[in-house]
Order: sequence, then structure tokens, then C-alpha cells
Amino acid sequence: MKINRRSFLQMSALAGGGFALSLHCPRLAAAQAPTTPSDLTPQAFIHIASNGVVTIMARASESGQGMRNMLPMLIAEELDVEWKDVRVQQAELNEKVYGRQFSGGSANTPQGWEPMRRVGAAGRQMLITAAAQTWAVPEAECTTQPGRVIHAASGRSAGYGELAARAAALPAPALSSVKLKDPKDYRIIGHSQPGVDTHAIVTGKPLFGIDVELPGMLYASIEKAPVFAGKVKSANLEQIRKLPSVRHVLIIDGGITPAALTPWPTPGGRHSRPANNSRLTGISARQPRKAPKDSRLKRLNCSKPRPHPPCANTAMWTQRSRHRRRS
Amino acid sequence: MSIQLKVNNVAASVDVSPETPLLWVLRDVLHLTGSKYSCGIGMCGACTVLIGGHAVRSCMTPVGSLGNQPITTIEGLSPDGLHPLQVAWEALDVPQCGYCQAGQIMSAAALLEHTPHPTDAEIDTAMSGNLCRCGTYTRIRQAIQQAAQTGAATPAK
Repeated sequence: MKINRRSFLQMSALAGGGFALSLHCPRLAAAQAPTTPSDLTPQAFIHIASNGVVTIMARASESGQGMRNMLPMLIAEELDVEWKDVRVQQAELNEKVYGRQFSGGSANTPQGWEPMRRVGAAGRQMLITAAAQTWAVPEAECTTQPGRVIHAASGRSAGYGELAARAAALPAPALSSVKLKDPKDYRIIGHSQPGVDTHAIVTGKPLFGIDVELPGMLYASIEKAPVFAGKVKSANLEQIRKLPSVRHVLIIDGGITPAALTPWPTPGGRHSRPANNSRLTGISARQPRKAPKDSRLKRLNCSKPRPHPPCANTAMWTQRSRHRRRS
Repeated sequence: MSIQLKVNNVAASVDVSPETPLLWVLRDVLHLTGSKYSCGIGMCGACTVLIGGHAVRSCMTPVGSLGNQPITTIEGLSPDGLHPLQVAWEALDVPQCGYCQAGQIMSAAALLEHTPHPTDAEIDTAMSGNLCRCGTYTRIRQAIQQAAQTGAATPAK
């Protein structure tokens, strides 16, 4: 099922009583509020169940550098919870709520470093406020240990799960106002933590974009013209349209793109066809009269390294590079 | 045309043309998406599964060519995710992005089945067809050695 943030909230509520800090999310989204780091709120990132399990949103996508560990670790550190009690969930794409969600350029750690810690610290502050109100004691007398608010003077303490509902009803403090830990007190940051997805990876659980199935989804890919920078003169579009699962086939700049109900034998699996199967190769093309201005041709002819291909095309690019090397 | 398969010890009947690559039958028909499509021409190993205990590239194996040989995918390597290789992989936190890792583990399973205590050189030879763009090769080798020591004799069937 598709889980957007609203349905996640509804599910959380149905799951029984405990959810808390994410109560304000829909209103926040409706207000179209935050676009700058200082406008981020703990409600968007932190969800605490009544049993103390903490779910933290990873706002940026994972491509192997550990974003789904690193960003939630920053929040967990300042929220003051045990990392083993944290569950990581991917945030939906909404930069108004989550800020920068792009992964690339080694930018997530420097750009998330302070805002994510402040989000966690603001969540901790709300739990302290909730406890202080419950016990009718000054907030300044309350401290935290991982997962608990402590009032040493009276010997009282409460788990975050017990306080979550009350905390959720509070306004979030301004991120600039919250106090951050002294780095010497870090218990999570700077300590190696196992990859949050490692178990799913080694057991083959659906985890990647290619594993997603949606109702009515079509698979599309690009069949390039057989000469470099060629333009399509003609293609066996009618023949392709008659293939059992194909729904569309379009001529695009430099090739054709069939879209089909199944990933084979057309998109995705197009390279898998038997060598003598020419069903998808009926493209005739003409060479461009001169090198295109966009310099792709020049790059190929010079000795400079080619630019990194866009992620979505990596598999195809790799294969094409191999063919070139061989020839 | 209906084709009979035995995947992870479960009998399956699939209605596809015999030339369909096994990978797409696993992923698209049987919804076993642990085996990955990557190069599609048997050069990267991301789609590796066991067929009769041997590591095979499912992206270029026609499903009609399998006969009654048992097929094992990453989902069926162990009932509980506790195959010695999976345990070692987790203990050493081998993966980064993880996309190639199912294929890596299946190739390693085939290796240990036939060579329970491989040398580093034997590991490198057996695993040379599995590419990892993150470059996790050194941890992969360590994990295979660890699994070999902790009871690799568990047959991956």
C-alpha cells in the first residue's frame, strides 16, 4: 500500500493510543510552512509510540552512503534515546516539511548536521515540558536519560512513551532556542552503528525503487538509435505495439521508448532478449550532419573523463560503455 | 504455456513463454524481488540465483531451460535469514547501497557448498563475476571467511 504521511499518521493512531509527536503534521503541511532549516519542526520527524519505540524520518534518499543512518542518528542523539529503540522510516517527498531531501554531492552531512540535531533537541525539550507540566515542577529541574525524563529532586521519572501524547499537544520551540549537547557527551554520533537496512538487504526484502509495484504501473525504457547522436528516421512501432504487454511506444529524441505492463520483453528487460530477437531493434537512424552543440560528442572524442551519468540510466550507460570498449 | 518450477522448495506453475529470462519470472510473476536486474547480460552478477546448487545468472537463463532443477533465491537461502553467510554479512555490515548483495551472497553460497573452506584466492576467483560499485569487496571476502569458519557446511538448498 502507498504510505504517505497522512496515512502513516492515521495508521499510527489506529495502532493504538500511543502516537504523539506527529499530531501536528497535517496542519503544518496545510500551512505550507517551512522552507528554511530554522522552520523545521520535530513533529515532522519524530514519532514516539506509547511503548517507547521511536520512529524517526530519514528525509534524504539512500544510495549507499548511509543517509538513512546518519540523518536519524543526528536527531536521536539530541532527542536522547537509545539507538536500538529507533526505527527509521523514509520521509515522503515534501521539501516544505522536511527541507532539503536530495542526496548527492556529499552535502547531506554538512547541511543536516545542525538542523537535524536541533530537531532532535526540540523534541527532547517538548518531552521535558510535558513532564514538568505533569509533575508541576520547573522545567529547569528536569533532565533526560536515554528515553526518559528525570526529576531528580523528587525522584520521579517517566518514559518518553508515557509523555508523548502530552508533548504532542505542545507548540514546538523555535529551533534556534534549543540547547545542543556538548560533543563530548555524544553517545550515538561518532560511534559506528549497523546499517538500518542491512538485514533487509541480506534477506532480499523489497527495498529499492525497482522493487516497487503500483496499480497500473507501466515499465518504460529507452531503446537508443543504433548510431551515436542519431535521430530516428523510422522504427517498427506498429510491430512493437502488437507485443502482448506493450501499451505505448513513443519516438523520443535519439530513440524510442516503449512502455509495457511487464518488464520483459520490453523495458527494463530489453537487454535480456535473445540475441536473435529483433523485435525491438527495428530503428533506422540518420547521423547528425554535424556535431551537436551540446558537446556530448566532443566529450566522447576527448580524453577528459565523461561526466557521471544520471542514476536512472546507470545500467544502460555501463553497458554501452562496455560495447564501446570492445569495438 | 505453463512451466513448472520449484523455487525455494515451493512448486510454482508459471504461464510465460519459455524464452522469458528466469529473473523476470522470479521478480514479476512470483514477486521474489530480492534478485536484482542490473546489466541484463550476465556481466554483473546482481541477478545470481542457485540452480541445482550452482550460481547462475538468472537474467539470461531462459525459464524453459531449467527442467526440474531446484531454484534457490536470496529469499529462500534460509528460512529465518540466519544462513551463516547472512549472519556474517550482518555482523560485518558488508553492504552499502545493497543492490548487488543478494547476488554476492548467492555466489558465495555456491562457493561454500562446493568449497567449504576457501582460500582468499579461491574466494576472489569464485566472486570475480559479481560486481559491486560501492566497492565492498574486502568485507565480502571477510564475511565469506567468517561464514566458512562458523559453519558454512549448512547446505544452501
